[in-house]
Amino acid sequence: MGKAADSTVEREMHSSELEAVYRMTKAVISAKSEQEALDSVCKLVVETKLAKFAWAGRPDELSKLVIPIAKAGADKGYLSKVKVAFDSSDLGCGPTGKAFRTGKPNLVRFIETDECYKPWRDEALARGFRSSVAIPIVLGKDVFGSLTVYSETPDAYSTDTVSLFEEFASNLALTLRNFRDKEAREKAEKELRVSEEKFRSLVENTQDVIISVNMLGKITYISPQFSLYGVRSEDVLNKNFIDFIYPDDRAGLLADFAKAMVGIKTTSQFRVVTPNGKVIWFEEKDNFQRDKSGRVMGITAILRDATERKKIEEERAGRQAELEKKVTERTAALKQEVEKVELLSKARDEFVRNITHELKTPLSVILLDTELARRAHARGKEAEFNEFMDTVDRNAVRLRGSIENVLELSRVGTMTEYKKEKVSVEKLIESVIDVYGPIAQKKGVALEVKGGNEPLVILGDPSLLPYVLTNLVSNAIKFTSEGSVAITAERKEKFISISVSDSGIGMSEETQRRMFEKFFKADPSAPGTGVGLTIVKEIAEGHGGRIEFKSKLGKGTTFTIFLPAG
Amino acid sequence: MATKKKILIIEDEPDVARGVQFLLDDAGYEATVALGGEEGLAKMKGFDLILLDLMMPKMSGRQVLKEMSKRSLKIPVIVVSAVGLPDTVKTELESYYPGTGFVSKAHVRELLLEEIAKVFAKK
Repeated sequence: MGKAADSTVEREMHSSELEAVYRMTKAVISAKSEQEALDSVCKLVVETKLAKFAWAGRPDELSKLVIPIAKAGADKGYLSKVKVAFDSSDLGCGPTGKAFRTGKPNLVRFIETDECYKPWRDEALARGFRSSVAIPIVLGKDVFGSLTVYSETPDAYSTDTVSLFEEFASNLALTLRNFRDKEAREKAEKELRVSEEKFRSLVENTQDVIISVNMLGKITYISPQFSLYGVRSEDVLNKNFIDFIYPDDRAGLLADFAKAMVGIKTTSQFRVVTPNGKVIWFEEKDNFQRDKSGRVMGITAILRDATERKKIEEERAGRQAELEKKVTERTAALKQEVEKVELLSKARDEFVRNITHELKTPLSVILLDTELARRAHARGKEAEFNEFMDTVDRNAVRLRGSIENVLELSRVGTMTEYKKEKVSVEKLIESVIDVYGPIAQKKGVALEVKGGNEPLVILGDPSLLPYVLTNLVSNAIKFTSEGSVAITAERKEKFISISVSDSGIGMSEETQRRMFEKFFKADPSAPGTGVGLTIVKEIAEGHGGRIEFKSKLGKGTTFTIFLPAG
Repeated sequence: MATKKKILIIEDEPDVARGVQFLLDDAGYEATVALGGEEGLAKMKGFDLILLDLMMPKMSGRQVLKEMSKRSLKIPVIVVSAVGLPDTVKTELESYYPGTGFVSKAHVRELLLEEIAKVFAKK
C-alpha cells in the first residue's frame, strides 16, 4: 500500500477503488481466520462495486480443481454449474487456471469474445458477467488460492486496477501464511499438550519410577513416584546411581547393562537402598537412549517395585526348601525305620530259633529224665534217681524262666500304663535272694546286699519290679565266675536307685552299645532269649525311671536302675 | 553181645548228655560224653556210633560233620537236635555226611534206642 501511495497509479485511480482496497486490507488484518479474511474480501469487493460477483478458491491437488471456499454477490448458482481446474486441461485454460499456473493475475476483458473462456461463457453471460480478473494468492512458491471477480461492464478492469489487486493479493497471502503458520503452530502445540497430558497421566498414575541416568552414571531425572519411598528427588539427583544399588546386586546389574548394550534384551532385578535405608526390590527393562548414530547417550528406565513379588517368591522358595527338607528327612527316617525293621526281623528270626532252643532243651531234658528217674528207681539206683529228679526240677525252673521271658516281652511291649503301688525294696531284694542265693553259692559267687538302713519304697507295678531285679541279678551271676555280686539300694532325691554290681567279665564296646536291643545276645551260643535287658529298660522307663550302667572288660559291670520313690 | 558197642555223645548241655549217657548205659551200651564239637572230634576214634547235637557254641554239629567227612571217617552218626529238623536241613547234612540219622531231643526216650538199634542192625 505504501508503495502504491507513491505511484502514478494512485493519482489516476478512482478514489472508490483505493477506498475498497483500503477497507479490504483492514478487514484482512483484523480477521481472525483465513476463512473470515476471504469472506470479508469477497464481500467488500462486491460492496464497493468493484465486482458484481467474487469468489475465492483453493487448489485441490487430488482433483486438480479449484474448490470455492468463499464467495459474495449475485452468482445465481454459477459456481455450482461450472468447474474450474488449475492444470492445463480445457477447464484449466480460464483466467483462474492460468493465474494459478503463472502466479500472475489474468484479465479477461471481454467474456463474450475471449477465446479461452468458452467452457464458461454461456453461464457467465447468462448471469450478466462481461469481464473478469483472476488474481492468484501467492507468496513465493506457496499458492494459497485465487480470487476471481466479475463485472457487468465489459473491459471493466484496467491494468492499474489489476496491479492494485495483485499488490493486495500478496498482502493477503502474507496474512494467510501467518494464519497457516499460526494454525500449524497451534496444532503442534495442541498435539504436544495432548501427548504431554498422556505422558503425565501415564507417569502420575503408574507406581513405576522413571529414572534417567547419563553416561557418567549420574541420575539426571527421577519421577515424583520416588517420593513414595520417603525420598526427595534432590537427595538422589546428580548422584551416581550405583551408590544406591545394594552392593551384592551391583555386579549383576552392570553385567545386564553390558548385555543390553550389545543388544541382548535383559530384565534386571536388583535391590535399591534408599537414602533413608529402605531396601526395595526393583525390576527394570534396560532402555538405552541413543543418538542418531546409535551411540548410547544414557539410560532411561522404568523401575517396577518387585519387593512384594520377591517376598512371595522367597516365601515360595522357602516353603519348597522346607518341603524338600521334610521329604529328605522323612525319607531318611523311613530308611532308618526300614533298616530297623529288617534288623528286628533278622533278630526276631534269631529270637525264634533261640526261644525254641530255650524252651525245647529243658523240656527234652524233663521228658528224658523223668523216664530215666523211673528206670533208676526200678533198678534201685537211689543216687541216680535223685540226680535225675534234681535235673528235672532245675530244667522245669529254667523252662518257667524262659516262658516268663516271652510272656513278659509281649506284655511289656503292649503295655501303656503301669500300676503305681507301694513296693517295699527290702522285700523285693529278699525275694530275689531267695531264688538266686543258692545258685550263686553253688557257683562260688558271693551275693551281698549293701545299705538298707532305712526302709525304701518304690511306687510301681508289683508284678513287674521283681522281673527287673531278677534279670539283673541272674545276668550278674551268669557272667561272674569268681568274686561277688552286690545289690545296693539307696534313695536319690525323687528316685530309689538299685545297683547290681559284679566282678565278672565286663562288656565289650559292642555289647555296651547294643545290649538294650531286642533279641541281642552278647554270646549268641549262650542260653537266653536276648530280651531280658530290653524288658528291664522298658519297665524302668515305663515307670518314669531309667537304667544306667558302668562296665569294664575283665573288671565287672554295674547296672543301676532308678525308679520313682513311693 | 560179646563186647559192648561204644557210643560217643557230643552234646554241650550237661543235663542232656548225662541223661542220654544213663539211657545208653542202661540199654547195654558203653556211652562216653564229649561236651562240645572239638572234644568230640578229638575223642571219636574207636567209637561205633556218634550221637551229635547241632546247636553248640564254638563248633556246631554241622562243622563236626564236615570235619568228619574231610577226615573220611566212616563212623555212623545220629544227629540229636533240640528241634525237629526240616527235610531241607536233613538233606543238607546228609550231603556232608551220607547215612546220617536224625532224632529230636523231645523224642529221645521213645525213639533214640530204636534208631541206634537200626544203625547196628545194618552192619
